[in-house]
This record gives sequence, structure tokens and C-alpha cells, in this order.
Amino acid sequence: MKIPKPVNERERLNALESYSVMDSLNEKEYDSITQLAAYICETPIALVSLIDHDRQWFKSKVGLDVSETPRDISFCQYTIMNDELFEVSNALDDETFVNNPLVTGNPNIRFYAGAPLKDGNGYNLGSLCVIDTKSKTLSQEQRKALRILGDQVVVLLQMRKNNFDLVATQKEYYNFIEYSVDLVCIISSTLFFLKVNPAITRALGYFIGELEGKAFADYIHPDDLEKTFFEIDKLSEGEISISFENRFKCKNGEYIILSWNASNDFETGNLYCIARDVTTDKQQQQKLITALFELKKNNEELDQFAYVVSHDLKAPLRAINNLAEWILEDMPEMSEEVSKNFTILRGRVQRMENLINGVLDYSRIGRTKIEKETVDIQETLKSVIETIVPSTGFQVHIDENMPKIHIEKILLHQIFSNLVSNAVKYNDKPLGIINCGYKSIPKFHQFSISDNGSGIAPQYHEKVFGIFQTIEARDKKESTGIGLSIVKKIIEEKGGKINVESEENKGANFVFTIPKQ
Amino acid sequence: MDEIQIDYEAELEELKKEYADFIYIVSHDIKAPLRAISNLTSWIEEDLGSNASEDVQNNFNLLKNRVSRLESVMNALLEVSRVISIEMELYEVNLPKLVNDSIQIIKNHQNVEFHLNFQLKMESFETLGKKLQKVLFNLLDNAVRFHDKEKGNVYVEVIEKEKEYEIKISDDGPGISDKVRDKIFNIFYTANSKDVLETIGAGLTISKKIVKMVGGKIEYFPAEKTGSIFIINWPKIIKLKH
Repeated sequence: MKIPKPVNERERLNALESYSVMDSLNEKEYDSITQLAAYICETPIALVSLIDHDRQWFKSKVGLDVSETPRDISFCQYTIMNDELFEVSNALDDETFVNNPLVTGNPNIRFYAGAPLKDGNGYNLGSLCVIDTKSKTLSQEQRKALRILGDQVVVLLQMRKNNFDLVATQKEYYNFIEYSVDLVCIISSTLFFLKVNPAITRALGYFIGELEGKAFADYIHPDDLEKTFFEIDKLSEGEISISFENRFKCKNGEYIILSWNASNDFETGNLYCIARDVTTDKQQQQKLITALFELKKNNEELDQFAYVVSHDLKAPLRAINNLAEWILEDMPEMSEEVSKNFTILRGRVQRMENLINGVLDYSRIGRTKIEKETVDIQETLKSVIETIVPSTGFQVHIDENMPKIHIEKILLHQIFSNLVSNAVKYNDKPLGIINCGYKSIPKFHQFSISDNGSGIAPQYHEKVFGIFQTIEARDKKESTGIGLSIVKKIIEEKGGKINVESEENKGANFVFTIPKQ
Repeated sequence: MDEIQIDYEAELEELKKEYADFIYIVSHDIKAPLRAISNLTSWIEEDLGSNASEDVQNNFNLLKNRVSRLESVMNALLEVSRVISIEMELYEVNLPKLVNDSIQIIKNHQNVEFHLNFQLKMESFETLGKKLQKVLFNLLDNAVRFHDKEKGNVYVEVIEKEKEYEIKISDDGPGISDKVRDKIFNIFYTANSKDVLETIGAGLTISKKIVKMVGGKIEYFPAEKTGSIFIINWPKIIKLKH
């Protein structure tokens, strides 16, 4: 037997599915319609039949006990094939149904009339049908009534679907707020909490019931109330609030900083607010500000300290030096012993002053801003060598390829004079040889100052750059030992590196780099 | 932001280290030549004997004075550098006794009358006793040393608060002029020329450093008529970083 299928069967089944009605419980709204249909059409049986893939299921039934039958023996499968009322006066006279088990056996159908249930999108979901065991014909009024009642079933189904959609949407909104990590609340025009979400209770420690219905202002830090009210006034004038911050009291009595975004609903005067706990951010920010402030303060303190110390140490030193000089002048007949001691005394005074100056230089670097200029290294080296290297006993070579660099001239001068003066100071050969080399390497200028002096044993290579490190006893050479530590500090602050290649008695080669811009 | 934070913190650390290095270098490395200068001075003094003319004698006395000032400056620097490293023992001190002990070791306090007032629930508590005594001594010593009246008064009031002791040390001396009020805690600052009154100017610096270390506060206020008021807030519980 050929089973009729609507051309849009697949879509029709999807549509039916979307009403979520199959196998649902009895509802009296539907039952009233089937009762009315049976009453009007004077039939013992009336059904709301919905045609599923392979069955018809009765949402409502009068005069029948089964809740579903197979689709292929149903009358209603024919009803949904057309938009008109489908009517069979006597099944025994109709060759389609004459052998149908529902005709030949229980419930012994003779008469059938079905109105298709056509939904808003044109899908026939099933039928409202009336059935009798006797053959009959409906009057025009009865047919019209059956159609009207069928339309009412469709209205009920549509309402059901709308309701479902509404609940789903509501659920979605609800979840959106419920699961929000941000703090969400509605505040009434009278400034009471109407609704708060769980994030608020998590952040503040209150139960929802402890906040809803309570005055918003009770939880604001007293010092922030004024600006909060001002912000609310702005809201009620139609402005929106973005990143407004105030302190909010938690259940444990502590305050956290909330950043609010809020808008005003003109109809109700309610405020719709989203807030975020920015306490940690704020603390970080505060810490940063404090750190910066501390840094500045410490910088100034150190400068001031350096100045005061140098002044308070240098003033008496100069006085000692001057007084010693005057005493020497006043006592030309002084004994050799005393005179020698005065000389040593003045030497120590000199050394102490050098030390203090060295320390000052060391501490000043990196803080004083010095203008950059284009420096001709060849020229710089020449002038350094002229002032430092004795005219006899030394042979100096400068590479021809020395570059011009945009840099603080004084810093380069300091580097070269320290290195060259070391090369001179620690030379123990009859003819000292100093070589100033240059090599351009990727991203860096590489300079080297080498000598043929006493050299440095490998175990001292790191140490020589430490402050106040001199290899020899300080009495032998009036050296402060602070020079190389300054050199290292300058070079590293410029982004370069310095190291020394040397072996004892084989001279030293100091190699350093300066970044090319 | 975190990175910037770390940068600043690192820079701050470096600066603090530099500060510490600086004091260390000044106070230690410069000590050697200073000792030599000091020794040479006494040798020269012995050799000169009484042969020298009055002029030379005067100059030499001045020279000696400058050497001893240098030594004082160096010692003060050393003390500043050691504030957080030595005498760090926590032990129980009796506050009234500590105040009295501090008064006893002040020189030339005969012309000053001390008025003590203690409002304490507990007279004793555990703290950095040596440090607290140092602060008390420095302030009391200043009050006595700089007093300009024939008969002076120094008031010490100690009030126990919930988490700290408030120690108020005031005097009816000359006070500190508005102009220099910001400078008194700076190292080697002295309101008078160092030739007028032989003093180094490190006491308040050291005191402030100590109070800061223990997490307290020290502040200066001018007295109503004349004189100075120093208020120290010394916490009962001291949290040390290391």
C-alpha cells in the first residue's frame, strides 16, 4: 500500500519537533476542543492527531483509548496532504480504506472528517478529526466549526511554542547574569538593590538576600558617598557611567574598590549596573606610584647625601692641607723628621681627597644628564694621550679607522683616560707600548686598549672591575682603584661590555663595546 | 604594568644598594688614610714639642681640630651605615628606666631640669632596646646641648597606645626656625656653624633611620612659645625584614 508523504515532509517533521509537543501530558485546553468537536459533529470520537515520522500521536482524544497508531493505517495521513477538510462518509465505499484494519476491526471506522492543523509556516502538523462507527455526512456548519476548532488547536500549539521560546530566552538571560564574572545589579530609583547576581555575593561576601531590598548607599565608603550621588544624578540626567570608581563595604568590614559601568532606565528610573573589583589593579597602580616616588626620593637623597658627605669631608681636608702648608712656611728650620711627616701627611690628605672624588664620580654616573654630540674618537684619543702619556718612554699607536660616534663626549673621555692611564701606570718596561684598536662588529663598535705592561693574572680578571680594587699595595702607586669600576659602569649603562685579556707579565688588552645607536 | 613595576623595583633596589655601597666605601675605605693622617698628626705634635712659635702652635691646634672633626664625621657615617646591622637584639626594656639611663649619660645636664610623665599600662616590653635608647639619647642630648637659657626645662612624656608608644620630648630652648625645619633630619646638617658649636649633625639622621627601620615615625613640631617638640611613635611589635 502506497503511503502518501507531503513534498516538504522533512521540514514538516522538523516543524513538528519545534513545538516540543509529542508525548507531552494531557492538557485541558486541547481536551476542551476535542470534546467540542465531538459534540458539534455528533460523533463518538474526536482526536487531535499529530503525524510523526511513522506514527500518529494523539495530543487529545475523546472516545478512544489508544494514544497512538501506526501512520500507515491512519486516516489523518491523508488529511495533511491537502489544506482542505478531508472527509470519508463511508469507509466501506472507499477503496483506500475498505481493507484498513481500523475499518475492518476496532474501532470499526465508517465515517471520518479531519481538518488539517496548518501552522503559520504552512506545515500541516496533523489534524483535528472526528470519527464515527456509522456512515454520515457533516453539515456545512459542522464542517466550518471543525475547521475553526482546528485553527484553535494551531493557536494553542503556537502559544506553546512561544512560551517555550520565551522560557529559553529568559533562561539564557538569566544564565548570562547568573554566571557573569562581573558584578551585575539593578538599583531602584529610590536607591535600593532590586536584584544582584551571584558574582556580587562572591566578591562581597553577602548572601543575595542580605543585599536585595537594602539601601545601596549603606555599603559605600562614607568618603565616596558624595561623588557616588553626583554620579547617580548624572545617570538620571541620561548620561551613562563608565569606569566610575568607589569603595564598597564587604561583609567582613573591608572595602574593595569597584569600577562601575551603569545606565539609567528612563521608564522605571532603575539603574542597570555592572561592576568589577579593581582593588588589586589599584593597589598595583598605587605600588607603582609609590615605587616611582621612592625612586625619585632616593635619587635625590643620594645626590644630596653625596654632596653633603663630600663637603663635610673635603672641607676639613682642605683646612688640614692649608694649615700644614702654613706651618711649613712658618718653620723653615723644621727638623727633617717633622718635615718628612708633614709631606706624608699631605700625601694622605691628597689621597683621601682623590678617594672622595672617585666615590662621587662613581655615584653620579647615570643620573646626570649629559648632552650627546658627535665625537671623533681619533681626536679624543689624541687629546687623552697628550695629557696622560709621558713624552718619553712610551710608544703609542692609534688605528686609522677610528669612527665618529654620537655619544656623551665626557663619558668616552672618562673611559679612555682611565684605560690609557692604567696602561701607563702599570707599565714596567723600558719602552711602554700602547695600542688603541678599533673594529666594527655587527651592532657594536669594538675598541681595545692594549699594553706591554705587567699584565693581570687570570684570577684577578673579574676583580679588577670592582670598586677600590688595586692589585698592588696602594702606597706603591697613588691609585684610587676606582677607575675601572667607573669604566665598567659607564660602558654597561651605555649597553656595552668590557673585559680584559691578559696573562701575568704579558701585558693587558682591555676590549670594550659600545652599541651603534 | 607588571613589567614596569619590576623595572622600578629593580632600579630602586639598585639605588639602595648604591646608597649602601657609598656609605660603606666612604666609611671604610677612607678610614685608612684618615688613620694615617691622625697618627702623623700626633707624631708631629710630639716632635714639635714646645719649640714652636705661638702662630705655629695655633695653626697646629686648628689642624688637630680639623682632624678630629674628620674622625667624627667618619664615625657618624659608620654609625649611619650600621643602623640596620648592629645592636639588633630584641630584649625586654623598662621604659622609665631607659629614659632615666639615657639622661644619666648626657654630659653637662646640670642646668636642665627634666620633667617625666609616664602613662603606661605595661612599663616593660620587648624591643630593640639599644636602638630605642640611642633615639632617646640623641633627642635628649640635643635638647640639652642646644639649650640657650640659664635654667632649662626638658619634658619627656610617654603614652602607651594600642599598638605603639608615643614618646614626646620637648624643651623650652631656642627651637628650630621655619626656614630650616625641613633640613634637620639631613645628614651633617647643623643649624649653627660647626665652629660655633662643635657638633656633627648626625644624631637626628641616625634617629630617623632607626625609627623608620622599626616601622615608626618621628616628627618635629614647634613648641607654642619657644622650643622644640619631637614626637616619636615607636611600635610595640617590630617586624624586621631579615
